[in-house]
Formats: sequence, structure tokens, C-alpha cells
Amino acid sequence: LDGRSAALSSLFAPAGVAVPAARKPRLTSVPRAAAKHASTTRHVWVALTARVLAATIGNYVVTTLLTALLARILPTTAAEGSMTATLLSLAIFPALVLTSFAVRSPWRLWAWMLATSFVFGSGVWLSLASGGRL
Amino acid sequence: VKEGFRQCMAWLHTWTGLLLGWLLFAVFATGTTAYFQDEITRWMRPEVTGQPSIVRSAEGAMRWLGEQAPDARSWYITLPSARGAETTVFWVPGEKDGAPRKRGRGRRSDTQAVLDGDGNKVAARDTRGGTFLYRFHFDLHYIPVIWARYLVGLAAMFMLVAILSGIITHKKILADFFLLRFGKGQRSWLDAHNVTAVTALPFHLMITYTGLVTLAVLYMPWGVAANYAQPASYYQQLWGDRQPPEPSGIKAPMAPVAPMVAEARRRWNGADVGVITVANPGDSTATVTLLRAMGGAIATRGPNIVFSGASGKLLSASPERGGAALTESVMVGLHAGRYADIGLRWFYFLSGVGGTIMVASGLVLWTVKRRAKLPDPARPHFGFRLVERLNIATIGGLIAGIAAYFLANRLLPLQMAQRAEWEIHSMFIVWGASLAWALARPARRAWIEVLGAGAVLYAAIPVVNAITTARNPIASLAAGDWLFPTFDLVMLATAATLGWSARKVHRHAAKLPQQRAPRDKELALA
Repeated sequence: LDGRSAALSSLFAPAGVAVPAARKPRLTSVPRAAAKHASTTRHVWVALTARVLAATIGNYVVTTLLTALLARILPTTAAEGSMTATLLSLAIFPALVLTSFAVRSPWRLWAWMLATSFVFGSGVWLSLASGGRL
Repeated sequence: VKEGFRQCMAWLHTWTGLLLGWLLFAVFATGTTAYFQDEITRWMRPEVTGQPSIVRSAEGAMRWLGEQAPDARSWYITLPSARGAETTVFWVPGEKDGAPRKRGRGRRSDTQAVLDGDGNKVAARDTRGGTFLYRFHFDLHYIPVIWARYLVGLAAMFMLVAILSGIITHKKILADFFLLRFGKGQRSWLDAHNVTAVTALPFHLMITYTGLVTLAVLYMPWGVAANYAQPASYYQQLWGDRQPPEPSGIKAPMAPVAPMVAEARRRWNGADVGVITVANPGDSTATVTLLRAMGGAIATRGPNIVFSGASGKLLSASPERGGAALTESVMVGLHAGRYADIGLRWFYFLSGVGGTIMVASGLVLWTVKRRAKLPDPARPHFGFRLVERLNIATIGGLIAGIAAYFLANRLLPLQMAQRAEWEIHSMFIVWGASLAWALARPARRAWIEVLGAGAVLYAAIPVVNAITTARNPIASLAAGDWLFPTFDLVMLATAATLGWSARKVHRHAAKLPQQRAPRDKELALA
């Protein structure tokens, strides 16, 4: 994780800034050769983009499906269930943003998001198939 | 790993904060004024005085609408709050009135009116008063309302993420509660950011989350869509809204409204009526719905009670709220603070000012922190200059723009066409001019000049008020009116704060160029 945030801070700090030694990447497997540096930078950018997309769009899909599922299965009236789920969604979304930036690998993050989307989505589909909307 | 996590959150905090910081600043600044929107409206309509009675206002409004809009499909009457002076009415014209209802600017006055406590049209200047600043904080201006609300919602979500990641970033949250070191460059900016953020942290969290709650279904419609094919049936179940009946076409005079208000008050333990809605007025199927005033309790969506318009008989009262509906209602109420008495209202206002300073100092901190690290401070790179200029234009320009809005209210000719719109344009003209100025001048000079101009504009407000209206501080105090003198004092305090800030920047600029900010581990994280 240290390695990634150091890479991020070097990317987003204004040009010419020396990244403090304590925050230098500890990626022992990456050679320090200049030729390798460019591909590492690109890798960091791809990883960051994947993470940002997961934290926004992926997150919204997961939150939507979880909200819909909660609205369906909470043991209360339809109106109360919808309201409770909607209120919770506003806490679920930011929590998932923080999680997205805390998880080490963006690829594992995406795997988790796809898996949970599938589970929540199936739940919503089953619930709708067994009893329609009002 | 723990340090790494905090650094991650610091990165998230910096970039989410910057990206929508300017919009958040505008939302915070105008939203803060909304705690006194009734008072601002009173100040902006100096012709209106006194405190009308609810019952007389309701009777007057019903009579006025009966004469002016007898064939309307429905009437909406917003009665004066405990702090307001006027009744706002608007109506949806019926088919008989000819042309279909047009939406858009310039047509508002056709179906809307401001009445005094006796039901006469108020002969006051055309202004949108404090309502404009309130609406701006989530509807913005010049762009479609729906896009504005998405944009503001996005900013609010960024804010929530910035607050949460800011808390995680921040180790010594309690120590910084008491720590404000002046004159230490970057350290002072960080302190200012922390003190304003931490002191009112519960407020910031509350206001951001509840702000999202006010428009939750717009941002997350799927919880409702999961259970309801039509959103309307959701609201009907939730709040007990009734579909208005089809008009019968049989004329029937309206029953008096005073007994209805009395009955509503009796049922609500003396709480006042806030809004009266009349469906099919003048028809035998007419219904009169009374909604409890928002000042009566924290929960903003008060109970309603429905009477037959023709007979005056009670038809129904809204059902007891469920737990979730009540929670939502209380959250929206906490956000708007309409329940707050004067002491709590000032507390809300000051917390809002703290939030505005928090956002502003965070934006400035971004540049201060990076200036120390610039390879060549004399020629910063494009991104740095852009942020620096936008900071000046947004922070200095909007604050000055609000002063221009107040001044335009006093200075524009009373008979001017679209006067209310031009008051609003004045705000944006000053704001835009600040942007142009910030782009054209060296950054430090621009800060001093825009802040200084703001100070002059605010200081001018009490003077212009005393010259153009009869309600100067002496006359007001003699009449026992504290609102106008207090307004003057707040304007002068704002002018003093802006002047002080301009002076600080000026002095700081004199001390430059060689002032290096201290750097420690925490600064690197900020």
C-alpha cells in the first residue's frame, strides 16, 4: 500500500517535487532502470483509473442493487422499507468509496464488486420474480 | 500499513476536496445565509412591517384568491412564519383560463403573488429576497434545476467522502480542537482548516448527510423503484397524500377557513398552520388541506388535515408516521433548522460560517502547501495558477457578489422591468468581474483587491440602507425593531473580516519572498 500511495503522491505533486524517502516505493521486484520506470508509471495510472471507476460507477451499481434488495427484504411495509434503504444508501456509498481506496489491489476490488453485484442483483431479481411491485 | 492507509485517505481528501471545493464553497456560503432567509427577505422588502396573524392572513389570502383566481385548479398558500411578514400564494390555472400553463421566466408573476396580513397585494419592491440565496444553494442559477441538483448532490457526496477521509487522516483530532497558531504560514492555514473543521465536525457531518437526505430519492431512486412502479404511489403511502377529486362542475361557496385553522391547532397541541392547499376551489368537491408549520417541530414534514371546502367538515387527517418516514423528516428538519429559535439559529449560522471557512481554508491550503514546493515560485505551472485564480474568484468574488445582491435591492429603480432578476444578475456580474480581475492581476494583488472591494461593498450596505429607506438604525430602534440594526451589524462585521483578511494578505506579501513554511510529518499529510 505504501508503494502505491508514494506513486500517487509523486504523480499528483507538482512537477519537480522530490518524494520523501519514507514514502518511496518498496516494490523490491521492480528494477530501478529508467526503461522500466515508464511502464511502472503507466501501470500506476491504469490502476488508479480502475480504482476511481470502481469507487464511482462500480460503487453506484453495487449501492443501487443493495438498496433495491434492502427495500425488498426489510421486514416492514413497502414504503418504510424503501425509505430505510434509501437513507442507508447515502451511508453505504461513501463507505464503499473509502473502501475502494483502502483495498490494496484494484483488480481484487473489481472482483469483489462484480461478485457482490451478482449476489445482490440475483436477490433483487428473485424477489421481483416471486412478488411484483406495487 | 496503518500509515499507508492514512496517506491514502489524505490523498483522497485532497483531491475530492479540491475537485468540487469551489461549488461546495458556494453551497456552504449561500446555504448559511438561508438560516436567516426570512430575515433577509424582510430586510429586502423594507416596505413591509409588522407581524400578521395567521388566521387573518389565511382568511385574507382565501378571499384574494377567490376574487383573482376563482377558476384555478388549485391554490397554494404559504402563511407567514413566526419570523416572516408576508403570505405567498400561487395557483395552477384551470382550463377555462385559456392558454396552457407556461413554465419559464417572466411568467411567475402571472400565477403568484405576495400578500400582506390582510390579504391585500403587497406594494413592495420586486425581489426574491432571502429565498433566492436559499434556492441557489441547491438549484444554482442560469442552469436547469435538475442538473444543478445532480451537481450539488455530487459535490455533497464528495464533501461527505472528504469529511470521512479527513477524519481518518487526522490523528490528533482532540489536540487540534484547541490549536490555532497565527502567523505561521502554512501551519496557520492548516490550523484554521482543522479548527473550523473539527470544532463543528458534528455539524459538518450532519449538514452534509442530511443535505443529501433532502434529495435522496433523486440521487438514489432505486430503493423506491424496487417496490413501486409509480413513485407517486410511494409518496401517497408514505405521507398520506390524496389525489384531488375530479371537479363536479357544481359551484359551491367556500366554507370559512378560520374554524379549520382552529381545529388543526387544537389537534396539533397549538402548533401553527404553515401551508394551505385548496383543490378545486369554488367547486362542490373542493378540499382544503392544512399542513403544520415547519417552525413547530424538528420533523419538517408535519402532519396534515383535510377539510371539505364546501361544507368545512373534517375529511381526514394524515396517518401516524412510520419510523423511517419520521427519521427522514427529522433529518430534513435538522438540515433546514426551521424549528430553531433565535439562539439556536445563530448557532446554526455560525456553524455554517465555520463550514464556509473550512472549505475556503482547505482550498487555500492546497495552494499554500504546493507553493513551498514549486520548482520556480515566480512561474508556477498552469494547474497551480488555475487553482489559485479560481480560489480568488470563488471565495472573494461570491462573498462580494452577495453584497452586490443586497446593494442592488436598494439601488435599482423600483419600477424597473424584471427588477428581481436584475438583483440576481448584479450578484453574478460582480462575481464574474472578480474572476476577470483575478485572471488579469498578479495573484496576491488580486486577493487584496477582491477582498478589499468586498469589504467596501459590505460597509456600504448600512449607509445605502439609511439613505434609501426610512428604516435607519435610529428609527428602527426607536420603533423597537432589532432586525434592521442587527442586519447592519452583520454587514459591518463581514466588511471588517474582509478588510482584515485583505490587510493580512498585504502584510504577508510585504514579508515575502523568503518565508519558508515549517515542514513536519503532519504537514506532508495535510
